[in-house]
Amino acid sequence: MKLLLHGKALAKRDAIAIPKLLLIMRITLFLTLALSIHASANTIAQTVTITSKRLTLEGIFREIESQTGYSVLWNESLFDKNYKVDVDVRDASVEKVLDLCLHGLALTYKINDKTILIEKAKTAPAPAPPTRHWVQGIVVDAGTGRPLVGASVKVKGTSKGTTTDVSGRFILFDIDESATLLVSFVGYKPTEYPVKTNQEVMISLIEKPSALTDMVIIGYGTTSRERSTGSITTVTAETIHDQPIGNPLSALEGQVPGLNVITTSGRPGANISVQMRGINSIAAGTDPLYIVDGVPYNSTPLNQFDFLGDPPVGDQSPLNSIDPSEIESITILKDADATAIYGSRGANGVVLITTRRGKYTDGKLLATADVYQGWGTLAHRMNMLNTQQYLALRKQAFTNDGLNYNDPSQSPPDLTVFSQTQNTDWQKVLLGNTAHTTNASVRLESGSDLSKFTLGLTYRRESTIYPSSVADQRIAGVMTYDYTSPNRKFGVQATNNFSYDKNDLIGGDPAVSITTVPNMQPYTSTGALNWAGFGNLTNPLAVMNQPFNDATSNLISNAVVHYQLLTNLDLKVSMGYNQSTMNQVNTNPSSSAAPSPYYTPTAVFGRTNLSSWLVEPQVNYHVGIGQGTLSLLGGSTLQRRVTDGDYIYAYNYSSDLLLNSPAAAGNSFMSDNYADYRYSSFFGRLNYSWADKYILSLNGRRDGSSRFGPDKRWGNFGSIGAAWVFSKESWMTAAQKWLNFGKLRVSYGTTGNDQIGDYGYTANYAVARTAPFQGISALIPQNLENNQYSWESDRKLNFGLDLGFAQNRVMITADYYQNRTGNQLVGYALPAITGFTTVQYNLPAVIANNGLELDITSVNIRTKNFTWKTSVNATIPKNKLVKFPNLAGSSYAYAYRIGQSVHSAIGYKFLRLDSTGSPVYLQDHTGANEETAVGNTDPKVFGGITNSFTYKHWNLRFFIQVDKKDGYNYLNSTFSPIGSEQNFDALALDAWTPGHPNTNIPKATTASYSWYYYASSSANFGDASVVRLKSVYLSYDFPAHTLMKFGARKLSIYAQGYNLLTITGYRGLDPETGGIFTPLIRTFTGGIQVSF
Amino acid sequence: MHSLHIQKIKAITIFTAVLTLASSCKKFLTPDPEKSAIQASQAFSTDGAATSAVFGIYSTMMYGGLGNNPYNGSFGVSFGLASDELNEYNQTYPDWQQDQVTYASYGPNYSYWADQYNYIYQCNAAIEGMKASTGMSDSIRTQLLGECYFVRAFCYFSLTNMYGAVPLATSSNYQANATLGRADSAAVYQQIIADLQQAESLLTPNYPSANMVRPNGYAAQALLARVYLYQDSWAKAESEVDSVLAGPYQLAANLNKVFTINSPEVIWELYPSGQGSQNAYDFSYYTPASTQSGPKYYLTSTLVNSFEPGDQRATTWMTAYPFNGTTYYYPSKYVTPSASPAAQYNVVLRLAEQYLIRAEARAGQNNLSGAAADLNAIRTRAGLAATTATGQSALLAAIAHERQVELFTEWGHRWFDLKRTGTIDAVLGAEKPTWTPDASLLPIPRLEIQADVNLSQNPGYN
Repeated sequence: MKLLLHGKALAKRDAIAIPKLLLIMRITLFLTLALSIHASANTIAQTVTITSKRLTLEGIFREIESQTGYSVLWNESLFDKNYKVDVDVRDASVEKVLDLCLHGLALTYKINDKTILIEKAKTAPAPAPPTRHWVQGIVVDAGTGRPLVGASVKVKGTSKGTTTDVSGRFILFDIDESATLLVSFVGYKPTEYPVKTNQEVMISLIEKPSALTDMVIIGYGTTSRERSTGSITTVTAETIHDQPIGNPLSALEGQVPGLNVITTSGRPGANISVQMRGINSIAAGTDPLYIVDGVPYNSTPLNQFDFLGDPPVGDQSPLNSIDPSEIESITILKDADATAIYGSRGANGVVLITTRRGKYTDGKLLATADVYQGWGTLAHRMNMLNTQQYLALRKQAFTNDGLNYNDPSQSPPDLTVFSQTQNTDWQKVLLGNTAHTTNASVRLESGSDLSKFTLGLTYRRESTIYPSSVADQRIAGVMTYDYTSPNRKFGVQATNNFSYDKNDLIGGDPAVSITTVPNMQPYTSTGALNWAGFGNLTNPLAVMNQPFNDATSNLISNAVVHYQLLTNLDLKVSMGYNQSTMNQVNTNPSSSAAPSPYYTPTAVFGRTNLSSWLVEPQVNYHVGIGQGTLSLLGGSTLQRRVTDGDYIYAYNYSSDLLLNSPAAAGNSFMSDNYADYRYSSFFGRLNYSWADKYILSLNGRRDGSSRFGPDKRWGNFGSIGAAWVFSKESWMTAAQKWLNFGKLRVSYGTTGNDQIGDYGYTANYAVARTAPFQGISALIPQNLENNQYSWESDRKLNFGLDLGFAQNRVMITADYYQNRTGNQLVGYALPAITGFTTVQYNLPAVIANNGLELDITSVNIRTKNFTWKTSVNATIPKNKLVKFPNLAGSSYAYAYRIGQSVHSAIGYKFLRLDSTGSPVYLQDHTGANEETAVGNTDPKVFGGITNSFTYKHWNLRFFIQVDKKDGYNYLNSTFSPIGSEQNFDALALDAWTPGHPNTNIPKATTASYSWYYYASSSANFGDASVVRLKSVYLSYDFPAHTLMKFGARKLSIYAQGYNLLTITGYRGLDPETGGIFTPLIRTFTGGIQVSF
Repeated sequence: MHSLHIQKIKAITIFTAVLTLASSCKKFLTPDPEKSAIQASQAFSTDGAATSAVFGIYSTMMYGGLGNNPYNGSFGVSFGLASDELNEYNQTYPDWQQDQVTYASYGPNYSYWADQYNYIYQCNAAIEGMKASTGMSDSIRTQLLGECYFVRAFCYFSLTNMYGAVPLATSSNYQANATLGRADSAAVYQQIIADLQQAESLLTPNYPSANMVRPNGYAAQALLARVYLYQDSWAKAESEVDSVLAGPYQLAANLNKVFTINSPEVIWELYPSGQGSQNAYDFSYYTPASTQSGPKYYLTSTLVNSFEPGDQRATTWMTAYPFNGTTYYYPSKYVTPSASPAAQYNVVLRLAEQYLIRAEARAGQNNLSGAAADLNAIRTRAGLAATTATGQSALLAAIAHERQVELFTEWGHRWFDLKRTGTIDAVLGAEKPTWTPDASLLPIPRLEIQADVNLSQNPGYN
């Protein structure tokens, strides 16, 4: 690898006389010291690599001689023998090395054949500008020579400082004659570098394999990996940007130990389920708390309506409104120590999303454009029966049932009416399209030491594999502004995220229709939708003609104002505002239905508006006590979120053309909803660190939520966390050669959950979501009254171990957690004779989640040109319902078993086929098929492996996701037996017949009566593990000399692959989305990023 | 020192501000009330609110699709399948057609149980709320109380005929109701009669609003007539029918007009209020969705063949539908698509049934000519000649047959009639190989048995 620098030819130096230009040329000249191989090939083929500090000129000349075979001649009187320079060049031409070394010494050189002559320069070195003292240079990675962008360069003992630009360059003016630069960069060891004024320097930073001192974001503050007492995982911008994703939550999949992320559908914008360390709650919400730049962010879809199902189709993930490319990091807080400061709402973990802020302080405008374009296709096809196979199976079913398939009164039309040769590949018809993804972003940023801004704008369009041009489109923007007063006491950080998302995906999920009978024709000969012969079945393409349009606009705005009142006392106020609005329209024109004299067009309209604000004043105090530092944080929160919406069902339209107007409907009715959620709390944290060896952290919080009755609103939560950096103990000295870092962590505490509906503590009568009764609104009781329930509480225990080996090139973090959630907020089961089946209640049911998490990062190889890093994470979770009073009598009786996971699959144990080909199941004492847990769908082990390679200008990263789990295959979600009027996969060919008795697939039949047992039996439950090549990222960064031609500061081209390869034995479209729902699609993208 | 002092003052000021903010928290935590809802305590505070709350009962009675709600026409389908009236083309409910309904905690049987008790809860809560209300006028209170007693009686009548002995909840207190055991049928009937008598005394002869969607006094008498008939209280049944016939009703001359909103025959009907419906759901249950769709639920050949030649009901209330080479017949008493302008509500009580009740009651009391006269009123309207049946048992059989062809697919009449006349085993045993006598009572949903320690299951359902 080589330095990336501007590379104008040095030989022109003498021709330029204008002082300013000369200065530029001098800068250029210096910066060219380690030009790329490509630029160096013009005069001498051989190249030189020298990486030494404080070399004398003689030493350099000897090195050149030995590496190239040239002879260097010089007169010792020309220069000071003790003059030493730092050299760090790789594969540079002899010319360039000499230019570097002789620069500023009034020396020049001549090359004749194999001889280099050092002589006095004819012209004096260009004088520095007389008025200003400056230092400039470049900060590079010592290992690779790659410029470090955004490194901090400060002048020791002053407030002066800057950061390096996109080329890794910096310049500082007006500095003292001999100053020392403090140079630091995330992930690298900070360096002090003495400089003289008017000097150009190259500063190499040595990378730390694992950044112990990296800033780690925690609740209401930051800490470092070295000092943190909690269990925290950070996903960096690099991981997020590697993947061509629309929803930032997608980037977390398989990346975070303990975090189970499941995309509910392959539809763009679909909701994504996130579970932190298992399901903690039976009936209350299990979403983690999302905080975007300090503002709590709603994670419940705003849909007024969707298409029911599991998962509901059409629900939009609120996180889809956040542009992944504007995210600096996502931090996941897991244990009590980390989450307790969010108290009540942290039971399911906390996800902190931090927006990218301005870094550059050189005053210039940095403009970056990034565009990628991609193509997606169905990743995995099921092997469905063709018409011949299907018809044979059908006939066999009729025969098995003792029916005559030729009798039109007994056999449905597929055997008697439809073409017997037509073969429609419904998978191809419904899911065979190529999806297109376009993502284009522009970003501007600039700033000085005291004030910085960024402005980013991204457009994204993602279409589908459906036979329709529908797409999810989003425009997202972000503005950040940072200000610090010259005395550094006062500061403001403001952030605005805004987006508009238009999702016009059709309603319903076409994927479920791939089981449509194969001898039906989708289209008539004229290309219109075919209805002939569909009978009571619907042409699955009809849904394509039912426009479904969701438009979501979102604004997240926040400002943090802080003031240093005393040297050790800071005041801070954070203020946040979030406004989200979703508008939905779904129209069902006549053209989307079978020709019918009765059909009238209908339309549904929905609107939801959410607005939320937050104020959090905080006080920070820190003081040195003994060998350590005591930090205190105190603060309070006021939050209010108002959600209101309405829903209009409109019908009796006179024409399809008017369907978008609710007013044009012949009839319509409307309902509305409103919820006011208020939240308030006081919190405090005490942190004491003694010699960075013994660290103690105490959190306390008192929270109030409006979701509980007036006497039950407040709850107290707290945690204690401690860490011991045992590698700092004197008795570890001997071991420090191989164990560079070792820390033990333990934390215990309580957090809470109030994710239930609002107003539940009083009995309410609400306006019915129906047409008015003779013009008068109808009121319907919503619930039974119980005002005595309160916070669900979660006790979390965590043990952690952090180890660093081989100069911290290998870092291992292991955590064992144990969560016990009690006081469960459930609908307490009542017999329906009370009028309702539940009443909201705190049930002393207990769910336990235990697990082991492992995170290893390793720098396997690091040489001049080549780096290989690997990170591995794995989670082994275990979920158990420990206690549930009167489970059998509750509405959860079917779903749960004591001692089993709350994700138990309750069904029937399949034993064998009997002599007639009918399944036999395990029976209870009454002779009925026994309902039993046939397994659970909890992941057994999940995680991922990321490998990252850097070779010269090339970067390659790929991520493999692993998820070992069980699940029901797709037969569980079909409603009719093998042999009924719907298609099956090729396994149906193995169905029992008198001539083929040795099988476990039941005989084909048209009688659906007992199919339910088989569908949910253990025969259809099993391994749903998956190993997925989730993402591949390949990029090439153009070298500096190429960029000069365009005047660009940075140029990369890249290619991404997403869901490239899936290895699974699962019977269905995808084990993640389950059954035959729209699966994750395979996407290839190519992109280009350029900065000016 | 001076500047430190100022800083301390600053700190104190800010700290005080934070505390002030915090001290207002208790008030802050009280949310604004829900805009489209009121608290139960306010629901009966005025005439208007109470009227809306009682309308809510009717509204829920008609909300929801097939299998999810008992009263929007579902009874006609479910009990039509369970008895000998209907076959299902697509076999979604084979358990109903084969009389193999299970105690599963989902499906129509569960909704029928749970929903009817929900209506009863609403009635109980409304009765208690209105009795305690100080803001209502006496006239509205009297009217609405009468409606609630009537609806509660109607629900219990259905429940006890479906499940036999059922828990009798007459208050809204859920703690007390959660452990109710089964009250025997006699006690349930006693409550039904008491409620209907109370309703009759509270309701006026006039309908309180347009059409017949809210019961009047005649509706209470008409239902009472049916209740007495089911108890073989012939004289009482006859007397109630006499009262109804003294009212403003008459048989619709044209069979097409029987189920229309202006029908002179209708005594009580339910107002459709489900999504997008202005008419009864029955139309969409039976009528093929498009010209190319198959039939949905079609009439059994038993029923089709039981119409006498020349019976106009066979041509007016039944539609022949040729499909794939076979002719199916589906019920067409309701001919208006649900979303079309209101033309047909969901008829619950109509005069024809009253004639048939009185015919049976008179026959039961050996008033054979009176019975024949009532029977012939129905036959004449159907374009048939007077009955030729003579003798009590022949007349009773003729009346039963007339009920079969007059009331088919309405409200489970056939199922209930077969049960109360003790003929169900003979009739359905001959009709269906899967019939078992225990099937005449539906199973109590298992969740109920598990949630209520005092509730027991019907025989044959383990």
